[in-house]
Amino acid sequence: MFVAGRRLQSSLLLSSRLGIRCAQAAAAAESSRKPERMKKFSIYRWSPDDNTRPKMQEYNVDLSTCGPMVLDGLIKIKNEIDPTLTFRRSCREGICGSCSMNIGGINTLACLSKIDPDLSKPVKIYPLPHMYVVKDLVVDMNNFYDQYRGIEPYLKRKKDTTIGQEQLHQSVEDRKKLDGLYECILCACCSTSCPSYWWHPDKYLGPAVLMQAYRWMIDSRDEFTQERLEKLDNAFSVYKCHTIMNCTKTCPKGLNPGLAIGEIKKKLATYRS
Amino acid sequence: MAARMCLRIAKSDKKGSPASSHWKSERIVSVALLAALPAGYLYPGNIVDYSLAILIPPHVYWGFNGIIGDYLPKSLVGVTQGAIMILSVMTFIGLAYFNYSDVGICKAVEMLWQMKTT
Repeated sequence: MFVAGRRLQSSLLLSSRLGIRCAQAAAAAESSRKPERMKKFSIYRWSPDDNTRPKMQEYNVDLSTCGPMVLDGLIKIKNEIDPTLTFRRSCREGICGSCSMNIGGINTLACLSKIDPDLSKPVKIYPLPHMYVVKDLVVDMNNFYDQYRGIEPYLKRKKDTTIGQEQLHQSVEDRKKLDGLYECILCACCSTSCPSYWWHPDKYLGPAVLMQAYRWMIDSRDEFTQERLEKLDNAFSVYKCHTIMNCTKTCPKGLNPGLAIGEIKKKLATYRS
Repeated sequence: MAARMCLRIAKSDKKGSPASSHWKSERIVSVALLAALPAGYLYPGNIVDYSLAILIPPHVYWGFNGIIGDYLPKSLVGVTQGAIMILSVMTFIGLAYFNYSDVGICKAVEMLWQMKTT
């Protein structure tokens, strides 16, 4: 009796486990049978190979079989509808800064922006504004990177030091000053949202690069603050910032380049005395 | 590109005073105006009249200069900036002359407010 009872119990357990598994499978099957939720994606298309003007191409994506983010939608389109659609992406989690584009009028990372569930409105996707388009959503970032290179984004010391010989210590407070600055992933969302950067991309450094310039200025281990400031002390590099603050509003990482530029201006006002 | 940028920065460093002192004088004038405008309401008189005549033209000149530099095609920038310069100098002379020979800026604004439609 007792033995039979145990056997019964174990078989019950097994069947209940099976039951759960069946239920999961059923749920999965049900999700694949979910009603279609077709969402329109309107995407900027231009290729240097065709002799045609840029155009907006529309794609219909079923949201019930698509991941939640705009990047998921783009990848689905590229995989299933149109392999010629070209865009940059890598990490799909907001740390690489590759998939920056203009989505619904806002510069942001495709991997961090949710697809609007309202099916009546299309998702409108453009490349970053006022940049040279290489193809579709891929823009030429060379000028941006050159400007970044121009601010010498690395530790500079007056005395030659042998790398690996000793550590450069930094107090907790000094390290804290870098918070909110070092997190920048150089996606260029802020710089390309700045009207001043649109008008003077050749001479004005733009919010992203200036925030990094500031990051190296206030690093307690860097000894070239004065020289870094002197390099920016001209009519264009910094002072074309008119505190429009599009940069801070658009930053997908929630950083504040506008504040950093303000701090640079404050430093520039006093560094000579 | 980076080398070209350094060159340009070096060039702009050589001519005239550094941009930072220009920015500082802009801020000083702005802050002074921030004080002078309410002062004109609270203590209208000669001192405020003349400080407004001195502060307003450069403030307007720099503001317009920025707009011109940002929005006009390069070929028009020089001419327009020259015109704005002349206009600003004339504004200063006009305001100073108005203070000297007429009721003064503060009183004039007061009279504008008191004007009745007839």
